[in-house]
Order: sequence, then C-alpha cells, then structure tokens
Amino acid sequence: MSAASPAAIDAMLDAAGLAPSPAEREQLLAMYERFKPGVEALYALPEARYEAPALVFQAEPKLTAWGA
Amino acid sequence: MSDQPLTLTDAAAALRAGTTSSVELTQEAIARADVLDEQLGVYVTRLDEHALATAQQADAELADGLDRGPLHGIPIGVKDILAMAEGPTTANSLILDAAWGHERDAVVVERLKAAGAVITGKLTTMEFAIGLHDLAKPFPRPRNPWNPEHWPGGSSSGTGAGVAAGLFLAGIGTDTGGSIRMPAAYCGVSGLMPTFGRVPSAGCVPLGYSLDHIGPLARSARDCGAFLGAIAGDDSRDPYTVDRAVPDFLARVGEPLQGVRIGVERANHLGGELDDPAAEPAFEEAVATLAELGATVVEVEIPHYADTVVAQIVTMVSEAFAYHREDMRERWGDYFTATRAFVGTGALYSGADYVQAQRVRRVAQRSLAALFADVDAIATPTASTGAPTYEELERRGVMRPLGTLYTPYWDAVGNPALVVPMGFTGAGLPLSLQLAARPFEETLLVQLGDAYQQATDWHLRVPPLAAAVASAA
Repeated sequence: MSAASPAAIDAMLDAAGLAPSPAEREQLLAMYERFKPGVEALYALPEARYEAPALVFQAEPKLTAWGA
Repeated sequence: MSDQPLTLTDAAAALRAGTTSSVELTQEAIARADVLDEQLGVYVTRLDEHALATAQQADAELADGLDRGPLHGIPIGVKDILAMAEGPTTANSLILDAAWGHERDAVVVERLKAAGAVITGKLTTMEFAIGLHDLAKPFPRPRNPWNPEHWPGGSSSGTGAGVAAGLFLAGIGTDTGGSIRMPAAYCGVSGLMPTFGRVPSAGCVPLGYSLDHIGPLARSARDCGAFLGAIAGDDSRDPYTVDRAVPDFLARVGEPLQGVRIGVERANHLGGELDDPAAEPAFEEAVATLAELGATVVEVEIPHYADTVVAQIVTMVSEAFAYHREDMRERWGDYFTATRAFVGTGALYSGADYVQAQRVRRVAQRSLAALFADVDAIATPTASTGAPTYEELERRGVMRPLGTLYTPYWDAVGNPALVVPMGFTGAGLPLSLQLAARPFEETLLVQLGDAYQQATDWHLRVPPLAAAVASAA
C-alpha cells in the first residue's frame, strides 16, 4: 500500500468542498496517513472476505419523526 | 454547605426516609455550582429556577405518595447535545441551528422528566461530542476536579466533572468512541454505556449514527443501573432502538459472583511505553478483588482488536462528515480546531472504506460472540494513564492520550460496558476498570460493578477541591 500523495489529498478535500489552511491540510494529511494502513488492513482480513456489512436496510422502518 | 448524600442511591433512600428533601438536594447542587462552576466549566446553561420548581413538585408528589422511581427528586445534569425545552441546545458549537432543539425535549429528556428527575442544567461537551476545547470559541473550558490543570476527558466533560465535584448526583453522557467512559474514568466516577439500541437517541445531536450510545455517569454502578432503568426502552421516533423488554437493572445486585466467568485482556491494554506506572498494579488488584469475590478469572484475547478500532474511526468520521459536510463547506472557521481535524478526515475515506469497516464490525461481533460463549464479562483498564494536562494536549495533540484509551472497540461492536474507579496515579489522578458484557446484559455489569464497589471505596473518593467546598460550609 502506498501512502496517498499530497496531491490526492488535495483533490479529495477539494472534491468535498473543504478549504483548510495549509497547516490544517498538513494535519489532515497526517491523520489520514496515520490511519490509512489500518484501513487497507481491513480489506486484507480473511474473515471479512464473505462477511455482510453491519448495515441493515429495512423496507418498513420506523418513520415517526422526532419533534413531529 | 450541608452534608448531603454522595450517591444517587443514598439520596433516593434519604428522600423516602424524610432525612432530606429534593429542594435541599437541589439547593446544595446550586450552591456547589455557585462556588465551583466558574473554575470547572461544567455548565453551558444553568436552569436553577426550573430545577427548584421541579424539586418542589417532587417533594409534594412524594409527600402525597406518588413515587416516580429512583430518579424522583434527584438533581441531574444533561449533556448539551440533547434537546431540552427549557434551555438552548448548543452542542458547544457556533454551528448548530438554534431552531433544531428549540422548545423540544429529546426522548431521553422526556423520560427523565417523567421519572421526576430535577434537571439542573445543560452540560459542557466537546463540540458535537468530538475533539477538544477551543479557547477561541465562546464556551466554558471544562476542567478536571482532581486537578484543574488537567482535562476531565470528553466528550461528556461537564457530566464527568460535575458528578465528581458534587454539582449533581448523576448525569447524561453520550458515547461514540468513549465519551461516557473516558470522562468517567478521568474524573473518578462510574459510567455505563448501554448496548447499542437500548436507549433512544432521537433528539440528541448525532456524531456517528451507528455508534452513538446515550447513558449515565454517576458515583456508583448501582446509581448507573437505577438511572438506566429510567431512560431505556424502544421508541417509535428512533430507528435504532430495539423493541425489547427493559429489565430491572438492579435485579442481580447483591448476588454472589460465584459462577461468573470474567475474561481478562492484557495484551492490547497494558505494557505500553506511555502507561502510568500505577495502572497495571491497580488493574491487577481490581481483578484480584473480583476473584476474591467469587468470580472465575481467565485470560482472554479480544478478537480483531486493532482492526475493529480502525473500523470505529472510519465509521465515526464518515458518519460525522455526512452530517457536517455542508456546514464545513460554508463555515469551516466556526468549527473548533479539533473538530475540523477529526471530522474533516471523513472527506478522505471512500464509500467502500466505510462499507468494509461495517464488514469488519460484523466479523468482530461474530468472533466476540464466540468468546462470550466462554466468559460472561471481559475486564480491561479503561485507560492506562490518568487524565492528561491541557498543556500536554496543546503541545502533543489529542491522539497521544487517545492511544492509551481502550473504549472505541466496544462502540464498534455495540456491547455494553461499565467503567468504575479502581485507584489513583502517583499524581492523584483517577484510574478506572472497564467491564464489558454480552449485548443487553447490563444487569450483569451492574452486579459486577456493585460487588466491586461494595469491596472498595474508590467511587466514594471526593476531589480535594470539592471536599474543601463542603468543609467550608
């Protein structure tokens, strides 16, 4: 796994519409690089190969809105 | 100031014995806030008049034989990310639309009112329940009652500090990565993160939709169990709550621990270079106490620990960024610095990363269920240090102390976890024991925590700063 390039980080921040200062951009990059190897490792977990995500879509969910 | 009961449980008994009144308890809470709140930054909004009126009503109801249960007449605080009709809801942020919670009660607040609780005010949180305080923003800076130079933990900072300093007997916190358990640990009180779906979150500002848990902080495990009984249960307005009977969470209090198997996890929790030297001996002593009380202690390894913690982070920042993206685009500078740093990383993970994190959460749940076939509870330190100083946080950032905090795993899998004080560092800062159980087995956690607290008195220790207020009366 290669670390994301600063240009790729800039592109993602730009696509999200965020405009951090240069110092904040460095901080975001550092945070991302700290966790990105761990995120890549999630894909390498053998037990996850055929596991369904912990997401449940309900055709008939609770629809009462709070404050309604 | 008078010598009022220290725990919710004792205060409830005193109310019914007629040795105190709700008005007296509330006046004491207000008097303590008058002295300590400016220094500790517990409250965003105080509701003194509302609290006194509610206390008067509680006394009248109890005198008339109407007993609403263990919270009736008890002063409590509510973290300021839950809506409450009597006051503004800010989430400690300039961003939150004031109209969102205006003159509305979160479901949990509705239930607290129905239980007769005396809500004394809205409590400090880290902005939107994440990050760190920002001195450039106009909100109180919460401080640790054991040493105001130290952080009380977050994000339920005001709740932890307020319970420890006696500004109320219990309070509401929320926990997405540790925000009930961290301040409880750092402030030397108990905290109970219920099973995901046990308590409705409608009317609470979200951080991570699939991770957010609402629960109590209080002096004792027994207090937490009593409190949870008042706020648990399904609600049609919350898509995540589970339609499941609410048990008596105190049902097993006093039962012996013989037959209870506790798995002790050391591998991922102790031996780090940042650990406080007192953490490991305190943990081993706590485990020995549980064994002396009759529990069978076995060594375990929590499955997929590191991967699950990463899955929690990806989930939290992705879900948070979905909520905040539009405001972050328009009002980036109005957010706290640390909020920008945490939530902004949500822009950097892909949809596939998010889904993969959910697959890993399911893997962890499956493996953990297998482990819980062999043990009834798992014990770890809550953190392997005491609360860091603000100076340290500002110099080194928040990631370093978060690396010695062992709470996010349990948010990711959804199991309940109770933390109780287990000693002090050499610098006089609280240390904490974490106990986790199978989903919806909070009753076992309350039993274990109460048994431990009947054998120890760490949960009854009062910070010198707060004790000085009482002795000056």
